[in-house]
Amino acid sequence: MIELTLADEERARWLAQESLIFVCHDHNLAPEDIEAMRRGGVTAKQVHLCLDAQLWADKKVFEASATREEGYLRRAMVALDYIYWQVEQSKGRLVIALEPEDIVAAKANGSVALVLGAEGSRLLEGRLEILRMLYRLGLRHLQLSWSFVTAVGATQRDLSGRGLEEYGCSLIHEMNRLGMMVDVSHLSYQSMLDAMETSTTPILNSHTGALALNPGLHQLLPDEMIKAIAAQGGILGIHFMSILVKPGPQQAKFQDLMRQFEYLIRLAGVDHVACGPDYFPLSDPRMWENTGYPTYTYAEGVEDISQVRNVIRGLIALGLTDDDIRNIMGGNLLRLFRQVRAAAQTGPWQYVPYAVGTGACTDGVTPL
Amino acid sequence: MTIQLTPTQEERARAIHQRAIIITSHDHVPPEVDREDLKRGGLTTQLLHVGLDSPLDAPDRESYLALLQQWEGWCKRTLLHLDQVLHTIEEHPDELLLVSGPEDIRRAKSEGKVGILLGSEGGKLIEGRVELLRIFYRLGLRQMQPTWAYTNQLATGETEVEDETPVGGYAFVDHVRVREKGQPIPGLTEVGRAVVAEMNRLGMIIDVDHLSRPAMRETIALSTKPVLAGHNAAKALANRLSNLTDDEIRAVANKGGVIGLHFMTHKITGQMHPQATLEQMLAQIDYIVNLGGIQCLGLGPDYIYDPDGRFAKNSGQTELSFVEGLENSGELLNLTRALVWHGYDDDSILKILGGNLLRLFEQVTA
Repeated sequence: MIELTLADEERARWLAQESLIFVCHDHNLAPEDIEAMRRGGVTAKQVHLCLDAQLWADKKVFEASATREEGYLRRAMVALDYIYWQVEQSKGRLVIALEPEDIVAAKANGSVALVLGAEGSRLLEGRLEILRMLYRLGLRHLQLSWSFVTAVGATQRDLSGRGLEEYGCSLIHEMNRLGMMVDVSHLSYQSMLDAMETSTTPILNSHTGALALNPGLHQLLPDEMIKAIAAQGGILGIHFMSILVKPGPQQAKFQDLMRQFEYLIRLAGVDHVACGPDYFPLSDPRMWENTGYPTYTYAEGVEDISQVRNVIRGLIALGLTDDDIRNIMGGNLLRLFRQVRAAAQTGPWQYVPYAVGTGACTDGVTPL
Repeated sequence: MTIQLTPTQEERARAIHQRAIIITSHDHVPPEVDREDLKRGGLTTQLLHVGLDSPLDAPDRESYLALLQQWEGWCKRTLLHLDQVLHTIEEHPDELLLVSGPEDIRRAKSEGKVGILLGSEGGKLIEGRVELLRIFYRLGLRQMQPTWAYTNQLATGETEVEDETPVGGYAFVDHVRVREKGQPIPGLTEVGRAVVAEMNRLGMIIDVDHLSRPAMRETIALSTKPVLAGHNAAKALANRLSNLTDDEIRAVANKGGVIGLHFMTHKITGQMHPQATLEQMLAQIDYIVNLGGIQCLGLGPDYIYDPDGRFAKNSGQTELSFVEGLENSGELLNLTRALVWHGYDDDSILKILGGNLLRLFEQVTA
């Protein structure tokens, strides 16, 4: 994978122990994966309750989910219940991080923290009220959209230059007010720019990489977008999946992944890079058929969450300082979480319901 | 015969009312509308339904009827209501508080606030999943009726009946299905039974109103805790579909449960007209107390918020009225006055006004 001097190996071990490792963009809710976090010294991950597509389903169902908006709220609530159940069983070894300090405390007492989020806003069924209710239940992150087109605005599939719709902007306003991380992954570039202009706090692009190293994938970012996000104070989570790390179907080498880190660090700066692995439950192959990905591997050396700390060794080889490494491994995401929470408005607020024409029972429904 | 109290009785009624923990077990008027009435009526806690298996706000009769038969989408509807109710409670921390357990009711009393206890008239909101029940519990839900009149994922509703029953004047008169002789009416579904067990475990109040008769019997038998019949009355005095037979009153009482007496005319007298009087209300009170004991009675008004009358129009219930003198939450003192006038002692009145419901909630959450 990578060769380090004995002294650097020792430094890597020390850093892995001492750093607060916090990654974004993960889909694994199973207890085994929480154990893998423990094994790998990962203190926190931002995990999704739901994804705006039925990827783990037969191809027909997946294709129908391009336009089917219903069912996500229920799935998210079932997932949420599953998480709460695990938290209750864990006797304090697993916690839901409602505040950044919950993660700091988890590191201090050796427990594992989950920051709850969602990949896409279909679970809101077009209503800010449901965003607020999910916030009450612990949601602290929301990626505005997956790649299917929704009422939020243009996604990466839309190359027309269109940006965010008014609904997408009102979601961001409410997330800012509540103190939630705004994730722009999978949006069109114009939508990302609109989101950055709308949000009063720095944004997150949770699982991406440099387009220059893997041309043709619209989930990755051209240089000017990388710079724009860094300039806004935002964070770029680097994707670990082979197909996104480098061109071609083969499994990515660890060095391929480190090239992404090197490129983004050079362009965005060490304060704007994080780990956004996008680990999935790999047991159901239908997901890979549905997305058409020729391979479903992660880069060598980081094949599941227990191996994330190997990134530290790569960053040492890149010549980074201890502080910079700690920031990339979790400090930057923690800072973003703190900024977002600090900007939350806890005072009196105007009650504003908002509806768009989605969902089986939207028509005619007023909050009263 | 009218209710005329002596000055001493008036004073006694006021004193009891002031000192009582007053709880109502069935209400649909949200606190953003009802706040002043709740305070005026001296309520300690209102069980407010944030969920309902019926579309109160459907734009027209056609969509009202269509939504009645629809099982999907009620989680969302309920969250929308809940968001606004919680917002109102948080906006008025000096006047309102969210009741999560019995101790919050006592706190409401000692701090002079109105507690809001969240419930749902019907189980469609959990969309057939025990997981969603637990999520709603986390959001504050502490009471649920498995059904409202119509069959849903959890149970067969009361609109499926065993024999021909006079049901005139009901919203759902056209929907009552009389089963043929020998064809049994189903009770709880498998999920419904799991929900009853989970409500017992979580410490939620199970309300048996509007269930099919077999489902009601099954729920009472299955529950390990006392149950609530949150808005009901004696069928012997008012022959309505939802009202309780003598056997059912005894079954709820023997379980340690509580019957919240309904405040609507037709539930008290059996007729839509004329408007029921406090004396007729007292007759229901006497009847239920005689049958089930003083510890089984509470108050379940069923006040409805229907500002533009669309629910009344859509559901065909344009002739609803409440007992004279009890037409909104602000008038509750009149009930205490009637009980004093009628000769109930202080202890009995305190039980009826809220003591019994508080005890039920304590038993359910113990």
